[in-house]
Amino acid sequence: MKDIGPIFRSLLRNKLGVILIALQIALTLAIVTNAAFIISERSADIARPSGLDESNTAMFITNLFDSNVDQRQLYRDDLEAIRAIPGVLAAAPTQSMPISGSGWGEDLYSNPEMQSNESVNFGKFMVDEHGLEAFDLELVAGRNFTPDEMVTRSFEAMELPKVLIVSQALADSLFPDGDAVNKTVWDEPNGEQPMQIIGIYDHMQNAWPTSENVNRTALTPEISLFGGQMMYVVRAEPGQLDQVMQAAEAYLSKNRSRIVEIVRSYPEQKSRTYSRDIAMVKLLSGVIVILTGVTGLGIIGLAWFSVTQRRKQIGTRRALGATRGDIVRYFMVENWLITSAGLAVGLVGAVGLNWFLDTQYEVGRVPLWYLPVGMAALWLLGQLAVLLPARRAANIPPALATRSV
Amino acid sequence: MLKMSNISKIYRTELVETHALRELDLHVEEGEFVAVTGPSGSGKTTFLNIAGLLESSTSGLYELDGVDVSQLNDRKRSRIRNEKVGFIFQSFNLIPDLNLADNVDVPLRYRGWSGAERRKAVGDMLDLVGLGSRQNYLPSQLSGGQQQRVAIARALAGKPRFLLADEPTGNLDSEMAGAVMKLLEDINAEGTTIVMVTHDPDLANRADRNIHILDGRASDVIPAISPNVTPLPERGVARV
Repeated sequence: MKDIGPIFRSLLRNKLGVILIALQIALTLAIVTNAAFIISERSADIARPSGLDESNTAMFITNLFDSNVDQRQLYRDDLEAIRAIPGVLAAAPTQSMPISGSGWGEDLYSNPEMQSNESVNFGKFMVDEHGLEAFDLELVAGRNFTPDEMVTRSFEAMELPKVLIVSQALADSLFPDGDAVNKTVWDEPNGEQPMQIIGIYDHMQNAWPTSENVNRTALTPEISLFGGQMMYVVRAEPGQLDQVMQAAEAYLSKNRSRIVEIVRSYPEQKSRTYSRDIAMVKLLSGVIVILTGVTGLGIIGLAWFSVTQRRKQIGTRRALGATRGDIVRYFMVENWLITSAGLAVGLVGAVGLNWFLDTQYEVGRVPLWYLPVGMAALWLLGQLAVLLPARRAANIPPALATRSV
Repeated sequence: MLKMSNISKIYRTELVETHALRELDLHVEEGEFVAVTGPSGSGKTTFLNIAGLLESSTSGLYELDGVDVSQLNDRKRSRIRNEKVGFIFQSFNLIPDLNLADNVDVPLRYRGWSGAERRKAVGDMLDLVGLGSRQNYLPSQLSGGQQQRVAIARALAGKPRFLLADEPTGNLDSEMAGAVMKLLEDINAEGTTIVMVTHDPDLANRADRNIHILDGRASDVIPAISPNVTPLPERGVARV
């Protein structure tokens, strides 16, 4: 740092190149910190556990176009056949899958006096007594459904379930003091449609990834017969999912009164749901790589040009006693000053850009620690980028000082 | 002060081998003012570069201030250049982006002196060359003669015992050249050893000794070329 004063004064006399590269560094800090924050947020969303045994789970959707078929019986036949496929651990009917983007949301009331604005919203999954196992949920309190608790929803028979099993998050929301098992909740305000919580499972997300209450879910013992669409969740033994999916699809396709619309592994479903987020993460990662690369190249270019322009001056410094290390340090310090100036501007830019993105697109506030980390990364980038030109400068011989050209 | 024995310098490329210096022997006593003359391409600058540790000889022995400096590594050569040798270049070699004070300060920073020491040395040296009031000027704001005086101040600021001047008046008119030469003589009178490369026979004859280099070899003392110049003093006998 012994040259910092003269270097600073020298830079002030060569403003244009310095300002351009400092602005590039500022822009890089502003964009990279915000992009890294968005990437981090999106990646964290994608990485949230759904609660399922994801890599061993698949979903099947069929559509019945023959209205004469007994749909309730077809469910029974399908499930019996699927459960008999080698490698299947569990299968259950459902009308939705976690983080699939399409599901059923309802409200619950923990008190018959509560009004509609006091309800607790949750994501509902209509299953049978195999639902817990098919979704790989751990029952942490209470019990599972029994076959006699199953009800059917259809246009002809609108039975309502009397019991439900809730996620821990939903139980905590309904009864913050705990002990939700065996409590009565109501599906409608004013004490209508009471149901009893018979169990609590650990965790499962609802169908909507952006939902604020993504972890509030419940299983109900019912089968939906609306519209001919039939959906199954199947959990296979580890490593058996592909064979199970093929066998189940082959079975479901045998029935000519329906079409098999979707046969999809859960990881594929999840990546489809998050496809925009994944694309955003890739795009912003590319932006970060390109921007830092271009900035690094800009620093190399400026320093290289500077060395070429100042060969005689460097030779003179060497003649006057500068060691090779002194010359390398000179360029490192010079770059540090330029980078620091850029980062100072970039700091304001990063906060400003984040404010804009947050107010316009609700991306959230960048945590403060992103800024020093981003600055440190760009300082390091600058120092690494300038190393090559600096070493080239250090190799300029002192005898150049006495040469006339 | 300076003792060169059998110094040779050969520049090699893939096609040619150029003998810039051939078994040159030279001895400069402490406090001497030696002029080195010779035609272009004779090896003057190579001699100066080797004498100032700007480059190494291909062979031979070089002792500076009693120390064999022929085989020193780059770091040690840099240190000796910084501490013992002052350089004055033909084209001044001031750093255009630095003001006069910062220019004079350059070698002192590499010396590791404190800020106070450096400020005092810079002020004293700029005062000595008559530019103390222009410390914040840029070199481009000065005449050639003034720039060379700054270069002399820079060369002297670290109190070197040995001053190497490469055509110090080569880019100056005669009036400015005379002033610079007078300054060098004053410095020499204070005890600094000076070796000056020059084309100018008049300036050469103002030195204690005049050494002529031709085809890389130093020849015997040259008699005064200009009839108007005072003959060399007795101590100016070349030990070639």
